[in-house]
Amino acid sequence: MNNFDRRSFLKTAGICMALPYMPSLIGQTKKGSNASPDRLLFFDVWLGLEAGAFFPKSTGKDYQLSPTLSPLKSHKENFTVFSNVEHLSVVGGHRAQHALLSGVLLSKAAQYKEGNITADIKAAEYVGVKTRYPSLHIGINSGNNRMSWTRNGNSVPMVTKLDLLFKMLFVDDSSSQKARKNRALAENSSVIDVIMTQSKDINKKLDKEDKEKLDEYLTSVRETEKKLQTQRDWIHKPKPQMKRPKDLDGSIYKDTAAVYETYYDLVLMALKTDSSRVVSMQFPGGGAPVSLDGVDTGYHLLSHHGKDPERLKQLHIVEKHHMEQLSKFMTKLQNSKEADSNLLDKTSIFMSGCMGNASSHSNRRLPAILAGGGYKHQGHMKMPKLTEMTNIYLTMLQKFGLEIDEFGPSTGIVSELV
Amino acid sequence: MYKLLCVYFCLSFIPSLLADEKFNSSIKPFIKEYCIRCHGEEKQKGDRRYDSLKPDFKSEESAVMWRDILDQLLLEEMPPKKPFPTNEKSKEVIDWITNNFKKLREEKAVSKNGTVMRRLSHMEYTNALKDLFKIDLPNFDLTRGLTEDNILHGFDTDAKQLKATPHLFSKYLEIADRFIDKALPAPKPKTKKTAYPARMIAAARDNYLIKEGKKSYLDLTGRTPDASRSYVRNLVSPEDGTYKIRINAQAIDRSKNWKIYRCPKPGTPWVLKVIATSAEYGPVNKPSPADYDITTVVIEDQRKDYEFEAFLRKGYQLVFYWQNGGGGDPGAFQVQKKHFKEVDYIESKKKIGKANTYLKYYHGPKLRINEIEFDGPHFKQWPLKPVTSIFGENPPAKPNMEYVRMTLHPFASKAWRRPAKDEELKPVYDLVSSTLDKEGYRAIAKGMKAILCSPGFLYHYQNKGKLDNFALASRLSFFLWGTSPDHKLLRHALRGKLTEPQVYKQEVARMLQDPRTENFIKHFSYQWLHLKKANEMPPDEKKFRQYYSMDIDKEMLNETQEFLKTLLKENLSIYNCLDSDFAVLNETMAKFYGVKGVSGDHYRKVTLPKNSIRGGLLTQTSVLTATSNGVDTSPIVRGVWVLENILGITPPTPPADVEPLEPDIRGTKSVKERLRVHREKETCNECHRKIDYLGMTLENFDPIGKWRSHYDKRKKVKVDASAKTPNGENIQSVKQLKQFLMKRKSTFAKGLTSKLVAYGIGREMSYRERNDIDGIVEQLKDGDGFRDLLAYIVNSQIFLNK
Repeated sequence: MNNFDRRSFLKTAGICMALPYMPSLIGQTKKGSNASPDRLLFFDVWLGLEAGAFFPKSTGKDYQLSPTLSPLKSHKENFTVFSNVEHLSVVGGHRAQHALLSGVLLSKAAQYKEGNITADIKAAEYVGVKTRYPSLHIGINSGNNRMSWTRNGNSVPMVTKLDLLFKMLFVDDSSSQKARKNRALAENSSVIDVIMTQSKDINKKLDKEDKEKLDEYLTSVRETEKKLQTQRDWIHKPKPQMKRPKDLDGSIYKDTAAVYETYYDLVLMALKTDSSRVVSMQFPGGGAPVSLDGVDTGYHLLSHHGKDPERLKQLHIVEKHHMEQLSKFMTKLQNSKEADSNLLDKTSIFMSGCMGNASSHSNRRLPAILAGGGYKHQGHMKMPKLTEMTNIYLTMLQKFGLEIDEFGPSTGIVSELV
Repeated sequence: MYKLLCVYFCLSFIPSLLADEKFNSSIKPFIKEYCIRCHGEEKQKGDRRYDSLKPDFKSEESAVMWRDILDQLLLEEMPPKKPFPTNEKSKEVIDWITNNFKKLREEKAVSKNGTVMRRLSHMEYTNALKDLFKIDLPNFDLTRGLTEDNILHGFDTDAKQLKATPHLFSKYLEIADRFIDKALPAPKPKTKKTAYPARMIAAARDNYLIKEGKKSYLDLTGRTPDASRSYVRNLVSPEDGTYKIRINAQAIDRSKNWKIYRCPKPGTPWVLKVIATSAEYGPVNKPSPADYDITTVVIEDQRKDYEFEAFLRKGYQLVFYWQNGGGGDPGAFQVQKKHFKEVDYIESKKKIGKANTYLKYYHGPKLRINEIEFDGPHFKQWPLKPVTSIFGENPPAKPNMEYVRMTLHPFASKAWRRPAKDEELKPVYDLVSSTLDKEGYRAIAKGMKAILCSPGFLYHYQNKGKLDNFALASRLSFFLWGTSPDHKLLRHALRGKLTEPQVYKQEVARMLQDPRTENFIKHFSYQWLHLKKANEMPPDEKKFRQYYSMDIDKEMLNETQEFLKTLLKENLSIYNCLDSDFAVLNETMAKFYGVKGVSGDHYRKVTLPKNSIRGGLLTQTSVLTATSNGVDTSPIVRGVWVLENILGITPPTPPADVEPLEPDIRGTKSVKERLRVHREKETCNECHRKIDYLGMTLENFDPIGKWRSHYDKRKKVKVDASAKTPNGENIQSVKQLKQFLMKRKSTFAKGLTSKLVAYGIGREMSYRERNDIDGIVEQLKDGDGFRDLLAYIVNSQIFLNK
């Protein structure tokens, strides 16, 4: 890598994540530009969903909905709920939750070809430059920035404010902001040129291990430059104009239950405008009570129910609310017509949490739902034996168009779904 | 080849031959008698097997085993069952192993790889920038935009774990811009004096702006954090400067007893809180990370002027609210209900508008603001310090290349912590000169940016073997100060004197007394004691109200840092960490602990009563909260914490197929009972008999570190904090736990030292290097303090070499 030509490197390099698209590449999708694209959504309910109320008692397509899932009644044909799935090699309570979308612990990333890359980032790499944001990473009002990971083991920061998310998607910069950004971009390119020249000299003096570190640095510089190049094309391209939901920076934050819906609405708008095709969103478990009738105890405390009936009762209200919101969102997707179908059939929604039992901090037997996406939904799929959850991701990624036959520790696809 | 092999065998055989005699006569029999029954051919508990162990300390494999045996004997944790060896016998083995390690240390050259090149940690990065630009502004923290480093184990100075990412690099570019902007010469903003009537103030929900003809006033009624902040519209400071501020205000109906929600009692002084904030992280009328305190003003009953000074950063504005205000809107509603039962407040508010309803119906307490006057910005010096520190007192209007060279060479040398070479700077000069005529200082800014984003600034790089003057200055400075070496250190380095023992000694002594050691204390303790976890799982808001109302979340961290700062400042023994007869407290923490006679916000050394349960680190709220999950306590989590951080032993992770204990609070079985059942399983017992007792004895402390005698409010379930140590000793209480730990001083000292070294040199010790740690600890004499330990560390071979 020492004597490469930087500019030509840029031309031939693969596409890294978080690159905005280049207009010249529009229309190069596999299916042609008219077919409406697939979308992938990943929702992480951080404290998990309490097993007793989540998992249905009966199996198959005619199963009886469980109490937690009951709000999804009208969508019963549109989703599959799984039992006996988990990340087989993931253990460690809260410390292991970052592996939800990869099935691989950061500490074990070296054992896998693509490290602990998460399914959303894998998909975003595939989308590449076709949308303004290859992927969106959202934390509902707060986020731990540990949900999505690149193949190098770097976590991807989250957007945790509604108004910021709205701004990113739908508010154009002012002309002075654009001018300033343009100037900064030009400056940064020339600054990077200087750094690359200097680094060549430093490189000569280093021994092997130090060289590796310098290479890591130079790679980050190069990737930044690629990003800058594509940003340049975006600065003057107008964003889609959408109506700003009410009170994005005001009192809405106090209503911790209502705020979910507004986030869902922004995600919906992002999908409709094809601003992004991959979204991951985290529902954190804060210390404050969720503002719902019958709930007066903090969400986190409730998850430590210790089998106490009162805590379980309140916890189930909170968890049911998650499903009510999901159901509403699915209905809105269904009502959004696409060229060849509706948005729900084009959107795979995966919801889970890396806690099989938050009270004991167990990462075993995770709650998991796959909704929408035009799959052959199977009602309640109880796997005959404990199954790798990454198999579901592999199924989703293949549907999304990736030509891969494994993802992390996966052992195969869930063939019933396709 | 054969010859080579021969030589190799001979060389490796000699030390073992020497060690053999004693080994055969007493060590081997000892191991056979006390260890082999569990760690031999038949059983290998904990994956350890000693029957074929050789007296060889050079191979990593057997050195690890000898180290293990030594640790266990020192801790008296092995053997767990009878027969126990006599003290003399144990001591003989301990001495023999220790001596062998010592011999090895004396022979051995310094480890060959050393610390690899590493990125600055976020803290080092920010501090170095602030020093370089001489920026000392309130709440100026640019690391907020950086994603946290993913450190799996150890410290955020660990070279192997610190990674460069595109996201980070693009942030570096942005942050460099923000610093450089502060340093570019700019026209001096005009000073203005303007009085704003209340009508120019943006009122929050709980505050009511009333306009009566030409007159207007603003009544503050509440203190709900996100509904009580008012500010003067469009008044944003154009530059970092000081304003003289006059507020005309009065307290209305202060002496009346309202008996409503949160309303101050009659006669209590009413406090107007004044802060500064910016819109950078969100709306200014909501609490924001941008906030910093300006002052508090006690408002009297009569209408009058209050004057104070406020330093406002560029882009910041003044925000004020009634700190101990009443209930605000909800409170107002209560007032109506209480005093005017017939009125439906909310309904009428909808009908006749907010301010009108207020005028008609509100009769609660109100803090009235009539007018605010701003006079500023004023400056102590112009150009400001960041400008003069780089461009001097009189920056030329049109800088030429000669001036650029004169400016950027010292700038780069300071930034890179070594003299910059002309050939390194050539590309920088070329960049600047290409647009200098057209862009002036903006062109120089580009050059500065290149200097700040180059590896010279962002990376620590150490030469092989013994560190040269500049590498040593940097290592020392980032270790003890968390920032770049200062002018004095660099001057010694430039003259090649820092590596001279006398100069080095003087410099170390100077550095240890410098207030910049605060960075070290803060950053090291935060990571050593895992204090980050304290706010990761915040305590339940309803169950632990005091934790929030008293700001314990912040104060507890201050307490721990102030405690360690005191050890450093007064050069007190590190064993005060295990148990101390004093605590370092302020009024809040003293009140929280129930210690009497401490008033004021500042921290000071307080002698604890004889029977106090506090003292040492273990019983500080920060530690006890960090080892809980905000809801419950877990003796296992706390036990592991003590084992790792106090005794320096990292227990193995539990096997993957073991399910964690599931809590059951319905009251059938106590924690103690369930732990006992858990330990009945052989696989669990192997580790948990060394863990559980340490945490069990801390069960008297709830998730926020308060003392409890019972688990529940109704006092039905009593806490039983007694436990048995692995060698059968009974520990009845936390007091006895501390005594137990005090008997293990050297284990603690080694643990702490290895953490300090790992933090200071930027890597984990190899097993054999733990030898060097022993060497440092052996120098510790009775009466030596924390400062002495640090001095031994920075003089050790491991610190002085790559």
